[in-house]
Amino acid sequence: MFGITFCTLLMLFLVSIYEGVSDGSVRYVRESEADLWVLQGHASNILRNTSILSRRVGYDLKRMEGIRAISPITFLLASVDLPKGPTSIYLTGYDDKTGMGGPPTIVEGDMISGNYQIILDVAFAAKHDIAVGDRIAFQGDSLDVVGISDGTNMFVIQYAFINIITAYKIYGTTEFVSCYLVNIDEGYDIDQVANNIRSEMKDVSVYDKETFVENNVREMESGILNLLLSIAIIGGIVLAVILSLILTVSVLEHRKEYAIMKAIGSPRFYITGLIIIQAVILAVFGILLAIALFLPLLSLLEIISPEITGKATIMQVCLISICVIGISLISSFIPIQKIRNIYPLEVFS
Amino acid sequence: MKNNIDYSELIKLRDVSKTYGSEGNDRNALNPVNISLHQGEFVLLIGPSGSGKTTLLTLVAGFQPTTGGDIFLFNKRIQSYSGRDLQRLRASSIGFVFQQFHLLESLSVIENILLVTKFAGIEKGVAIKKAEDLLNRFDVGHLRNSSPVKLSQGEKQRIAVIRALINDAPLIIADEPTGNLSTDQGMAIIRLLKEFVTSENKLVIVASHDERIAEFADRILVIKDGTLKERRS
Repeated sequence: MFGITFCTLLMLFLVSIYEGVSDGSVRYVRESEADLWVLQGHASNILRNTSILSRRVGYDLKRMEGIRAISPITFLLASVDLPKGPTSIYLTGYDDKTGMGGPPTIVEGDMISGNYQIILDVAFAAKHDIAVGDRIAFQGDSLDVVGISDGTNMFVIQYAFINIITAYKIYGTTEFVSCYLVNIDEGYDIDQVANNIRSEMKDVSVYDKETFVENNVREMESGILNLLLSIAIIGGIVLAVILSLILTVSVLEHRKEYAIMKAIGSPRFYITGLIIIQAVILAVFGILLAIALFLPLLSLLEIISPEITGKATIMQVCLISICVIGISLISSFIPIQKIRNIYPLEVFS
Repeated sequence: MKNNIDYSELIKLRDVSKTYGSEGNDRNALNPVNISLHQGEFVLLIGPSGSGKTTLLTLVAGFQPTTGGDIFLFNKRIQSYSGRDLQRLRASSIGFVFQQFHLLESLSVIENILLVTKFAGIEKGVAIKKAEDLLNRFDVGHLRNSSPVKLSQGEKQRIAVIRALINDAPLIIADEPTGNLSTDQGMAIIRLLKEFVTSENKLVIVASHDERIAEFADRILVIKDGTLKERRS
């Protein structure tokens, strides 16, 4: 039964990490207050696409009808110098006056209010033992940690936030940004404004927020999430093999009993039902034990490895439970076939 | 099924033979047999080990096919029963008693008895009442909830006999029922079976090598080296 529990736990972990990563990767985009995202032409997401726009795009956007406000964002994969060595972060420069493009949630400390301040992701801060008030070295300068954010963990890398002025100083130029967040005036249609931008500006991509979230989710799903899903599927296959072996061994151990039942007139469905009931009972006990262990182990895992952020929901647990019970039913196929090779004649001396 | 069948001649064997092994390397387990067995008969099938007793019993119960000839079970050619028909027949119309008792150790005494009533589709309340009556009649009522593991050999065989009788099967097949019992226990079991034949008008076929059972038998069939002959008792 522990094998079943282990496989169920593995699936619960992977699905919760899948959800956590999926949420952490796109929550920043989902919770942004932008109506439209404007990026370099052919760039479709901010996770694995590079986008560089001239500041001129911003000036042009400001002049267009139906646009109430724009806010520049810069993204830079960078290294900060920590005591344990250089560590990568996804450095995001945003306009701290409007707050647009900043961290979705602050769990500790404050938003940025000046230059050379930084907000770190909660998992990143925990992993590297950094707290609000600390200073971290970055390319010869130092940044004050003023806040800790949540929903900014992409599993392989974490967001960190600075204001746009600091970002320009780091870049060494004020001529470029990564993208613009656009708010539409009341009474204007988002699609119409997006189409206007596309027709008036060459070499830009324009997405409404919903489409942009989908683009980023798709990008994440085509990367690490596929790997997690593959391991979860392997866990399911291992579970099926374990269950099948347990049930087959049980059939062989109780061969005589099944032969007796056949001899005294047991219908085929009765014995088949016994195997299925055994499979489901094993699965249910395995699931219950896995559920009991899941949350404590997930918390432990998050302490040991903070960047692994799980997101557990009742729906996930229900779906995994249904899957495990489904797998248990499939697993009973081989033992049921073994039953067919047990003959009532075996009970006669 | 029971209601549509004429039980007076429950079993008829016509030139029934059985050969084991492959062609060229075969062994005759049963030479052609012709015999009819009827309701109310206590039939002793006697012969030494390996003489073909069990082969004959398993052919009659439809557990294996004949090599030649026809078996008529409850007035119907056994080959014309489907697998499902035979399963139903074994559940409701044939009671089995085995030398090794073959009680299911994971079930209690009463559960072992009720299992066959479940297979036969008998209503649970009726089945429990009947099982308790039989347990008391066989002086093992106090063992109702015991595990078979804790029973003596004699008690196990009594429970096995009750299991064979609970469905009112017109045919009881007992394969060496006294083989694992002391003389007293064995004779007690045979006496109980005989009582049932008389009171319930059943056909009981007992395969054994124990000559002492002959005094209870209405008919004695002697089998030796696969050849069956009837001995007048």
